Amino acid sequence: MSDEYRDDGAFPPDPDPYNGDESPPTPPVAPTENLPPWEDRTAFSWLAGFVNTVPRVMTAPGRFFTDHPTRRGFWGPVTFGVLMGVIVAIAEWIWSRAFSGFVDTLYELLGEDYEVSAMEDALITFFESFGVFASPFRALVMLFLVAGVVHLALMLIASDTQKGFEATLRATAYAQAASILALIPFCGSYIGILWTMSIAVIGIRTIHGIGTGQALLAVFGPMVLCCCGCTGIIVLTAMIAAS
Amino acid sequence: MKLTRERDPLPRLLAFVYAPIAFVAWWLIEHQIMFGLDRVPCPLLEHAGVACPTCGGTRAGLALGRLDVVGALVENPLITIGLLVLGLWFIYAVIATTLSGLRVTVKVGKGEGRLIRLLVTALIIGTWVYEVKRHTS
Repeated sequence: MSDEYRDDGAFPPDPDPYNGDESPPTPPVAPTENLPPWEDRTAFSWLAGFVNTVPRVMTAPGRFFTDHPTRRGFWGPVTFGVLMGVIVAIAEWIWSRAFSGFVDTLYELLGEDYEVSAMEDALITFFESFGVFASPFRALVMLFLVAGVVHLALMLIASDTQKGFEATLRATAYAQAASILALIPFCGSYIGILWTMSIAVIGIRTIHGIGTGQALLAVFGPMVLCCCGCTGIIVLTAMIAAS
Repeated sequence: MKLTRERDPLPRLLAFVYAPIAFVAWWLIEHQIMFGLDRVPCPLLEHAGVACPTCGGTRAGLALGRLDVVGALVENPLITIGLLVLGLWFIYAVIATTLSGLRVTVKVGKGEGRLIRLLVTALIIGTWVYEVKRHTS
């Protein structure tokens, strides 16, 4: 038997950084996902998730959409968007009932002579009566329509960088959080629309990692194309006429 | 442009969300439940006489519903081409869902992407000029 120490390689020596040895490789860390409270069932109940999501989206949309998951499925954002649609429909129904007399008086004061056709009258009656019941379906269709149009614009504007349809759907669905402002009568829904659009731009920009200009173009481009495309010409014509 | 094996089924499956929406919208308009109130739906066109690039889009959709492609192109080329692409997507989705061997992903190169963007921009501008001329003449 020999007393001599024999290194059989079972225990490799510690790396010596002063001799240029590399540090041992660290195990790969899974990328952290900034899961919205609405989808985090381990930490939040349905109600707590909703109550926590709405202010987070409205006050810090940039932080909310940073590291937002984009491969978790549609269920979370779609249910959130539909729930917001139902809340808005209920709020609008309540306010239309509460202030119908006031609006009629306002029309009389303004001298508005607005003739409503039989078809319009039937539609108004239907939506006033069944609008709340039809609101989940309407909200679902609108959510997919808006997300589809915005994503189509994104495919043209930033086809190389965009992270797929789910990312766009998530940004547009969670942006609906601002429509909670419809609970405020008269101006609430209008402020809510503007706020929603701002959040959608920030959400699209953050979640897809694109520039603000591209996000603005993706959200407002289709609208400009349809409605406001001629506004510039109108303004120009008015200016020429005025001069 | 390259066709590779389908990596993500989502773009194909989304056709089954948008196809019913498109069909219901077409049905509502065709039966004058939507946009059938005997009023000019565009106040800007009524007051300013200037058309938008999507002016005549509803009529183009209705003409396509009657399989009148020429009539649809006369109403609005932009919307007609868009709806035809949408229709092709729906048809592909149905076929590829039935026959799994036909499921593909289209890979577009940078140059081709730029060309598509240029063509779409040209189509939008061209349609707008056409619609403005059509409504002013």
